[in-house]
Amino acid sequence: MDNILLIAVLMGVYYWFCRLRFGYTFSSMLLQPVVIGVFVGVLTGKMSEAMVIGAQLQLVYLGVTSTPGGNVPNDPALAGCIAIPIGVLSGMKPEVAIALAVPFGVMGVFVDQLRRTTNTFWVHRADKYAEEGNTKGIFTCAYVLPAIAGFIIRFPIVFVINYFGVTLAETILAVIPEWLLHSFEIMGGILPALGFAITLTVIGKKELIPFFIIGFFMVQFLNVSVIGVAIFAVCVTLVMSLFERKGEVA
Amino acid sequence: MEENKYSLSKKDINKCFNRLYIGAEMSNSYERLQALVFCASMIPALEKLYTKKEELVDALKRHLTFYNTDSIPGGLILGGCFRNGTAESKR
Repeated sequence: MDNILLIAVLMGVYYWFCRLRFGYTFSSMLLQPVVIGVFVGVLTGKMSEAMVIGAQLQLVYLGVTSTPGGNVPNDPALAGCIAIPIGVLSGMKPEVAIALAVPFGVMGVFVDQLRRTTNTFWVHRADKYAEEGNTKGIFTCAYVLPAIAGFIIRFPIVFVINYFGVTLAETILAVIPEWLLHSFEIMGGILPALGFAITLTVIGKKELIPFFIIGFFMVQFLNVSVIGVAIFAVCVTLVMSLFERKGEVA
Repeated sequence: MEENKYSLSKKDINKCFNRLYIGAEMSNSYERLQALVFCASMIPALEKLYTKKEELVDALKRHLTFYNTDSIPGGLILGGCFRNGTAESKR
């Protein structure tokens, strides 16, 4: 029980920190479910289970990019911070954990909207400081106060759900009938394919379809692993850009 | 606009950019998006450029108007504002 308390606290802190967007590229990396999976694996000592759930969850949110203005359509970080620890600690199958994660991903959007609404207070406070020429005050409004408010908004959600969720999930899993659990597994299995489909609609252009087919059938017929295909793809891209540049010079 | 005798060192410019890079999304609000962090990251430069208090207050108010960008090319916008020296407001 003691262990769950510690994990819940650390997950809350992690969610707060990665959603703080402290540093631009760096924090975008931290809030991906795969990275959260590594963190959960270190905490719980079950690295492989955490990574399996994290990687499958990553596929679901692969196509999620924030729209202009920074509004997120879905929050992978909240989904990961809740579904991965609960899934690992209560011994769920990865597919079930993914089905559990999706509603929290939607909830994360409301949390983000709440945070941005509270941030409006700090702008008005900064207006007052600007009137006085107080540059330190503006700095506090821009960095320190949003961080504190973010902690108050974000930490309790992840902490409470993780702390009570593990035992709750265990009891529910014990009670739930087999057919229902199996249908959850199927739903969770479809979701990564949905993530792929969203990604394809974003990056899919007619000219690029041959590359997609080459990669797909390399895996199917030549039994190359996905990492192998990725290495070849990087090399092909580099060679193509090399020829393109030569063409420009000539 | 009067000529200003102060120029910015490389250290000041880096300081401004780092502030923007670290905090770009932290204080993002629905009312003015990234205006707050933009103002905060311009402060080291503004303090150098505007030595009179009224001018500084004016500049701070001007930079709190409205601003939003992706923060990596956002460095270009900061650079443009410095380039202007006596900094007319950039939206």
